[in-house]
Order: sequence, then C-alpha cells, then structure tokens
Amino acid sequence: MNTLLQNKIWTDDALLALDREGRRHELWLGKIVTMTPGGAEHSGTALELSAAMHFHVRQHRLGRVFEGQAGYRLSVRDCLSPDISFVSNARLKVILPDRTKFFQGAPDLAVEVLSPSDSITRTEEKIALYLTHGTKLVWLVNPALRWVRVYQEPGAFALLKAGRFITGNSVLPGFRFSLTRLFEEL
Amino acid sequence: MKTLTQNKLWTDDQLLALDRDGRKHELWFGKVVTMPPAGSEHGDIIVRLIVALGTHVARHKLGKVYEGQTGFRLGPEHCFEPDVSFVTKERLKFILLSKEKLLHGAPDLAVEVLSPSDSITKTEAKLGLYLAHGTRLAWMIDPKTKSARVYKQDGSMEVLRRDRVLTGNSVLPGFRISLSRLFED
Repeated sequence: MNTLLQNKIWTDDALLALDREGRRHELWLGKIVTMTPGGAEHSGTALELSAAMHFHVRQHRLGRVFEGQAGYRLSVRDCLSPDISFVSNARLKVILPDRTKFFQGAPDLAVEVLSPSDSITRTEEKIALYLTHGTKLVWLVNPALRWVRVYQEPGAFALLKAGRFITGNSVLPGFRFSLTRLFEEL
Repeated sequence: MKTLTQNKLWTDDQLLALDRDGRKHELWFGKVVTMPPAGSEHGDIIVRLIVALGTHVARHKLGKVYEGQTGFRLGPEHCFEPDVSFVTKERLKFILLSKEKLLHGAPDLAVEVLSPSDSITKTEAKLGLYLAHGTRLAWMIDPKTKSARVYKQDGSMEVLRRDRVLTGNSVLPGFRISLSRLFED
C-alpha cells in the first residue's frame, strides 16, 4: 500500500525483467515477494492436478490451463502466479491483449498448493485477492494434511477430505478429481 | 491495444491531477480518453438511479454508492469512472486503499448510461472489462430506446424494456426500480 501512495509502480516490463534464477517473483500489495522453490510433494501434487485439468480442458475445448509461472496482473499493485490456473475461452479474449506479457486480470480458477513453509493465513489473503478481482473458484490444496479447501468468496470455504472429489462446478464443467488419487504416495 | 507495448504508465497521482474542466477522463488500454459533458437527460437518469440505490444501500447498510467522478483502477492500463457504481462493504476492504485516491479494483455493480454520442459496442467492451475484473452485475441504460441491458459475470445479457424492472439480484438484495419510473418524463 505504501508503494502506491509513494507513487511507485512496477510495470509489466520491469517485472518481466527481474532475474528469476529459478525462483518465482510475485508483486503483492506493491512489493516484490520472492518464492523459494517447492519440494517434491508440492510439485508432484501440482502436476497431478494440472495434468487432469489440462486433459479435461483440451478435450472439451473450454480454454487453457497454465502452470505456476503465469503472471496475473490483478491490479496495479498485485501480480500473482497461482500454482495452477484456468482461463476460459471467453475470458482469454478479455484479459490477454498481448501474449508475451502478463494476463491483465485474474484467472477463472486458481489453485494454490501449500508447501510446509507456507502460511495458510497469508495464502488465504492471496486467495481473497484473486476472488476480489474476478476469480470465481479457488482450490487450496494441502498435501501434508491431505485436504482441499474450496473458496468462492473471500473468507468462506468448503473443506474436502479423503474419499471426496474436487469438482469444477460451472467454472470447469464436468471436471471431477478424486482426493485419494491426488494424494497418492509418491 | 498498441499502447500496451509503448509502455507509458500513468500513475494514480497523474490521473488525479488531470485538469477536469467539467469533463471526465478515463484510462483505456493505457491511453487517456476525455469524454464530452453529457446532456440533461443523462444526468437526470443518473440522479434517479443514485437516489434509489443510495436509499436502499444506506437503509440496509450494504456498502457505498458512487457517482460518475469516482475512478476505479482495474489495472495499469485501465481506469474507468462508471456513471453509477456500488461497492459492498466486504469488497471495500480490498479495493479502497485511501479515501483520497482511486479505488483499486472493479465495483460490484457498474452502470453506464448512454449519451447520444456513445457507442454501444465500446460501452459494452468497457462493461466486459468491469465484469472480467470482478464486477458481478452491470447495467447499460439507453434513454433513447428506454431500455436497459443487464450483464452478468456468467456472460449472459438480457434486454429489458417498457414496464420491466431492474433488480439487484444477489449483488444488491431487495433492490428494484422499474424502467417506467427510471424513464418517466
């Protein structure tokens, strides 16, 4: 918030020019936040889910699924990269004016996979930002505790545990994925 | 759309410092667009809507109603001033950073009232941007044809005419105003 009042703005180009060094940078409340690389469990879980989403989305021509390097410019002060995201065909036309730059808006669906070092409170703040700026559905996946929280508005979630299914609702029609499969041992 | 690559960035302060001269400036794909003042019918309809919305929102303590000089910065490239807008209390927590500055995000409800010089296609594109950035309900009011178009986040659009009623749905629970009242001479 301070940076905005100070009138400093991070442009897309300035963000894209940041040295990545194998790490991910996000712009959060006007500040650059660098994320550490994730562990094997994090990566395996994200890949399992994104592969299923990708297959479903391509088969039914619903839009595109992106992995955790895609940047979404939610506002002047926020540019975040969810671990997995889905953007519908209709929305792609509106929020992607230049394919080499960031999305100018939020994805339809955002997925965050928790690492042991992640704070749930901070991740929930990020989720609230997605939902405020147009995301309709967010899944917060916790591989360590084997649960998934489903958010459709900031601060309220439904909890899913073993034996249940993640479903795409109206955002990703027909998509269904079992938590048992998602959290299979590596 | 080319302006995206030109990379000139307008800061909030620069936008707020633009000489208004009774006109409205918006930022549209990175470019400042100046709108001509509107006629009396345009203003009359806006006031009717604001009075009705303002009364309802104040009575039920739902949030804030803004008139057409309030800027919503949707991102680096876009800053719009809808003729009428409503933001819920919950959403204000996320998009209201400072009372003297622009709001950083889209309103829950955005209303554009067409002037004779406005293009329906351009206004529709603008409402599409609001909806993509989190607006849940958008109304385009056309005084000439005495009709209203209702846009929702699911991509649906409905045209209302004559004695139909604009409703707030889940965005503004309980709110109703009939088109006959809105367009009354």
